[in-house]
Amino acid sequence: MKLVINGKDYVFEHDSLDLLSLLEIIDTNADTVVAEVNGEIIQGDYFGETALNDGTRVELINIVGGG
Amino acid sequence: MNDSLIIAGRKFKSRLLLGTGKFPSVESLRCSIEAGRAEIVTVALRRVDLNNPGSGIISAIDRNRQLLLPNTSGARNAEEAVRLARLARAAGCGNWLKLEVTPEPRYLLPDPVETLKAAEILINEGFTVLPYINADPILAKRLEETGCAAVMPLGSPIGSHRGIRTIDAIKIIIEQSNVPVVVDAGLGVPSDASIAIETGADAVLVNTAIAIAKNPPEMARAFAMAVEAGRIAYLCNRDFQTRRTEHACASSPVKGLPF
Repeated sequence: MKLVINGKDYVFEHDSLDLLSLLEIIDTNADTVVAEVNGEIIQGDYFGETALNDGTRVELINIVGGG
Repeated sequence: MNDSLIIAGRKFKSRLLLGTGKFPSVESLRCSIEAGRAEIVTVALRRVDLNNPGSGIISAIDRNRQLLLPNTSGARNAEEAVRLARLARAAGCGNWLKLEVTPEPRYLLPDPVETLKAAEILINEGFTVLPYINADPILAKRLEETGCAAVMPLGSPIGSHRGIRTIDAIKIIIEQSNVPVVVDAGLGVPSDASIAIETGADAVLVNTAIAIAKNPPEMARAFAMAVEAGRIAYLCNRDFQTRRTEHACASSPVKGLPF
């Protein structure tokens, strides 16, 4: 399936994935990330039960330095 | 000296707010927060770099000692600012927010209409909003009336090092404001911070001038000292500006000269 992550297309062999598994696959620490799935903010507690299907848009945001 | 900065009911000893962008390393930032005695530090929200996840910036911040103030930098309108604010809260940054709406990249000047619109929405959602604004006394008042916890007028464009070019308007904002006035952006050297605080600003926010210094922690210390000096001078001499004259006024006695 295809996921649109941070505006770019990525193809995965899986038919579906949950958000927590996606973060593991792309080696991203779930504790430091906030996510939007199809425009909706997902709280960290719900990463494991948030299903991602073909075409889902995922935004992964973290805290960086800024003024 | 018992002289706290109070924003939204919360007390701070330090009047130097520190931005965390552009530091050469996380360690340099950590040492600069310490040397500058900053108690409010701003951060930004950006997409995770999938090739290099985890910026590590958060590890420099001791949240028992420093309040995290996420900004909405990069937002070009109210809608984008509100989205970033909600993401910041979901990321565990709390309810405090530096609201920043800059529609064009060359001068990064804040959009007053979109800022006011976003402030109304975010205050209704329970955010403690500190808006970055041009030095516009009417806008500052409107934002105060909307429920903003402070106003943050700019000295000059972000990262420009041009110092305080808006001093006359900032004086009016200070005179009229019932919420703290934090001079933000453009402060290039510690004396710029002193001028803001001597004039009666409640605090300053500095980032680039410290972050790109040869020795950021030492520059943070210099800014902290300048802020402290400015504050003491302000408290000792609130009306110093009214004493200015065009002509000289001898400080040595005019009587008793031997000629």
